This record gives sequence, C-alpha cells and structure tokens, in this order.
Amino acid sequence: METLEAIRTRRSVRSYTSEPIDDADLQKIIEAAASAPSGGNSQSWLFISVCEPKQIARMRAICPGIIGIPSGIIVLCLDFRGQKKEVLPIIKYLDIGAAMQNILLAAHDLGLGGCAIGSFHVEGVKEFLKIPEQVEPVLLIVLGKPRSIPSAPRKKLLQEIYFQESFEKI
Amino acid sequence: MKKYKMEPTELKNELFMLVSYVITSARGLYDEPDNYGIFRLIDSAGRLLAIMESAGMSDDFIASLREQIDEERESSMDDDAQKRHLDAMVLKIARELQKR
Repeated sequence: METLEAIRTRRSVRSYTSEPIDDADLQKIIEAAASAPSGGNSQSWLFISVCEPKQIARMRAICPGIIGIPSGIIVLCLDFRGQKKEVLPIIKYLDIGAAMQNILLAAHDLGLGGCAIGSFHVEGVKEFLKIPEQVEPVLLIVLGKPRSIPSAPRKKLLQEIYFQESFEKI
Repeated sequence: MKKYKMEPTELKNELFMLVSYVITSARGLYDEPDNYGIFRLIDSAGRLLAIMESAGMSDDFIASLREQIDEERESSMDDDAQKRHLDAMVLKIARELQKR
C-alpha cells in the first residue's frame, strides 16, 4: 500500500475476527514502531505484546477502553530507568505518539485493524504485566483482523486548522 | 438441574473479569469525559450477555440484544443517533419484560 493511501484509509477498528495475528506480522509491526523518530534518538520506549487469548481476556478486565475482543495488544511504555522522571521533557510522550502511528499504519498495511487505547488502569496494568517501577505504560494499541471497517469519521475542514506563514491573515 | 455449556469455574472466572471491568471503569471515569460512562455501561451489558450465551443461558431475545449492542459498537453514531438507538432497545426490552 502506498504511504499516503495508508494514512488516508486507516480507521480505528474495534471489531475483530478470531483469527490470531501472525508472528511474522507482529514482528514487522514492532519493527515499524521502533523505526519512529525520537527526540535526540533517545528511543526511550519499550513494547510489550499480549496475544494469548486468556491474557487478552484478563487485560480487558482492567482496560475498559478495550472494546471488542482483539487478537493482540501492544503496550507502549516509557522507560525512565536510570533517568530522573521530573526532568524529562514532554517530547518523550510525543515519541510514543510517533511509534503509535507507525504501529497503526504498519498494521493497516498488513491487513490488520488497530485502535489506540488510553482508558486503562496504569497501576493495574503494571501489576498484571509485572512492569518495573520506573517503566510507565503510556498507551495500548489493540490489533486484529477487522470484522468490519467503520466509515470515515467527520474531519475538520483544512481551512479551520491550517494557517500559512501566520495564524492571522496578513 | 440446568446444564450449562460452561463449567462453573469458568463461569466464575468470566463473571469475576466482568466485575473487574466494572470496578476499573468506575475508577477510570473520574479522569474521562462524562459520556464515557454510557459506553462503559453498554459494554458491560454486552459482556454480560456474551457470558450468558457462552454459559448456555441465552435465548433468541438475548442474542438479538447482543447483536444490537455489537452493531452500535461497530458504527460511528453521534449522540442523537445513539440516544435513538438506546430508546429503541429500551422499548424492545420493556415489551419483552411483559412476557418474562
């Protein structure tokens, strides 16, 4: 799939078939995540995949944002080990955003649907997945073979959000 | 004695996970938009109906209710459309309640 076509046709998918995710595809998706840009090339991210059906069922119990039954979950974490969390700039959270988009586009290119999930209990997920103290789960992405593709959501017109040279008309 | 598709231990675990979902949702709603509560309630109903089906406690009406919930999840309804959808479901339930 061409890059711009993937960007244009990607949707947040929340309904999946029971088909498992191919290991090779999951590897490609994680590699795409790791190829994202990061401030100072810090690459302060860690990725945890959960694909075992019973584990997914348990994750759904403490991650209310997971609607439907995905075939895989990727937990995107920031690794603060050896660093002072208070002095880290917000840019590291934006790096997670870049990794997120790479995951969603790679999944779309591979025929999978995905959806980013922010509604989950952070400490509950840390406890359940045995994530260390200094590692923070920031976002989840659920993946699976789409059972249906939602229609395109309403988007703001470009003239509402795009300004050239200055916010004010010169 | 009724025969269930699900072993009692498995049913207990499924219900426990549903309880976990409801409690976690309650906590999450402090930090989430107000209308997320609606989604969580509907999803709770959908999950419970799925457990009922797996446990052999379903019937045609329950199955149709679950299908309607799934349909809502897969569509991008605005608030007005969702209200109408829920109104229709409540009316359907009210009619069914008269028979139970």
